[in-house]
Amino acid sequence: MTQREKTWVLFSILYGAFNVIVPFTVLRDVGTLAGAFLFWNLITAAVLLAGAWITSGWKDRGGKEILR
Amino acid sequence: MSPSMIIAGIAAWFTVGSLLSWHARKNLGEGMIEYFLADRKVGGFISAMTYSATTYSAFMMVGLVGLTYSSGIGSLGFEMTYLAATVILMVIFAPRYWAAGRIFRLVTPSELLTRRYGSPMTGAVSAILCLVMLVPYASVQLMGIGYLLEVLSGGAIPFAVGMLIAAGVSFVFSWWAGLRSVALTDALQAVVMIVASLFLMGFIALALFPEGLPEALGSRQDLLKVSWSFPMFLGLTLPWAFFAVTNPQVVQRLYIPASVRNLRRMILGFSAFGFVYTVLCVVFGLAAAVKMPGLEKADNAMAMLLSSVPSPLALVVSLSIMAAAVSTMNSVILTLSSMFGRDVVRTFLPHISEKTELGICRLLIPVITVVCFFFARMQLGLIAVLSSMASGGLLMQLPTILGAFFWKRATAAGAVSSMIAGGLAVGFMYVQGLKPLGHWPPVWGILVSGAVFIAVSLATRPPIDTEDFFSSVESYIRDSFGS
Repeated sequence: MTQREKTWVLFSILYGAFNVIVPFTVLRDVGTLAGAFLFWNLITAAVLLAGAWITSGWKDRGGKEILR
Repeated sequence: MSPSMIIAGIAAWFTVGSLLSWHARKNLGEGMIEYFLADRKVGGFISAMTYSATTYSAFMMVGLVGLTYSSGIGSLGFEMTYLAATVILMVIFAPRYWAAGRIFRLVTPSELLTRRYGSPMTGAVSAILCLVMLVPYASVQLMGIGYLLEVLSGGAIPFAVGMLIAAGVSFVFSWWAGLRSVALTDALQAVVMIVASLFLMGFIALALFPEGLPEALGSRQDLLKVSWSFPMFLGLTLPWAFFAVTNPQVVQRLYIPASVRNLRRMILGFSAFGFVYTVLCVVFGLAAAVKMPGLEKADNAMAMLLSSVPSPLALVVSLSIMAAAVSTMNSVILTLSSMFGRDVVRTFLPHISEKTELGICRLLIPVITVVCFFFARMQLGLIAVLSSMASGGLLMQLPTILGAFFWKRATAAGAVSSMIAGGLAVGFMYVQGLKPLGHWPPVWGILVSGAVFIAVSLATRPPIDTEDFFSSVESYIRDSFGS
């Protein structure tokens, strides 16, 4: 595993913890869209954006495409 | 909705899909890699769309909408966790599968296990586990279409006829040109799925809730509170969180992008598709709960929602649900046929030619389609049990897969015994309806599978070329990905 991947794994563990702890404790009884609905949308968007950032370091050595 | 309108819609969809399949067939070459992986030369957009359409089945527009309708926002957490976990796993595993596929000319996910563990039995056990778990899963897709068409047509299109139509479409899309036709028709179907959902969202927001959906939800605060218990959340989420590495129909797609750039585009495209589609499906469930509370069967929420929109829109959305089911089913069937040929038949007949092997695999496409059809026709309670345990059963491959890439001490004996022990444990608990200490079978199954994998691996010797496997993959990734 590269250093970048190890950072990604650490980030994922933190995500996993927050993804469960916050909605199941602090936001459990918040009955508005600004509660668990907003939280789960934001934390997922953060992971997806982080995924885009971490894969931006992938180099490309090309390849012929046949289905575009 | 009139049966003739439904039939016309299906005919139009089938015609466009068949034209795409015919176009794909024109350039079809020879061999297993060509037929099942489109020669590993698929562009980023098509890769992303076929990955999305394969992943997201009719469950989203029927099951997830119903789950949100009945249990509220917990379903968003469940589905978003699945999406985030998939992207997390793809970032780590996609380069490894992609590289290993090219180095060892792999066709199926189980074949990677055979190569890594130096044991065809490891791949065969993994393939058989996938066959047992995924045939019911594919059958449920057929059943979903059968029920949908029967309800929409007011009984004019019987359940069995609806399933027959779906099985026929699925067979044509997959058999004609293998992954080339599946990938192109998947892309079409993914576009139909997302566009139809966006149109439905627009209609709901403008016509059904002119006062604003957020304001309307004020009357149903209970839906926005997290009412799920933690064991339920864990039991449902755990197997799906690892879907990206344990379900062969999506893992096989990691072999197909033409380049690193296209592999990355696949991940980004799937991320965007998954996020939008998930939010839309959950909002449909919330909207249905506000507009039409008190349904006896929550799974009817989407059908009821469609009954309050104009017929043309209802038809397009219904076709998108059919597209979701067919795109999942044809991918499952194509992958299973390749696994049966490469990982099971070749294990027992190692000297057959590639041409014979491909012939057997292609023959299996109609065979598996027919098996799924008759399986679904039986409408047994057993199907519900088997399909719900599918993701849990496939999860039992996880220790073996992790060990393949990250634990040099892992052995074939450890892999085989952990998949068998975990599969049996999960199967037994599902059939008996056991939830020890309140936790669902996959939680206990993965503990059993993991413990057996470690214990047996430590007690046996790893294959002699383990180091070669690791160094080849790492070196290829370094050269190709620059990391």
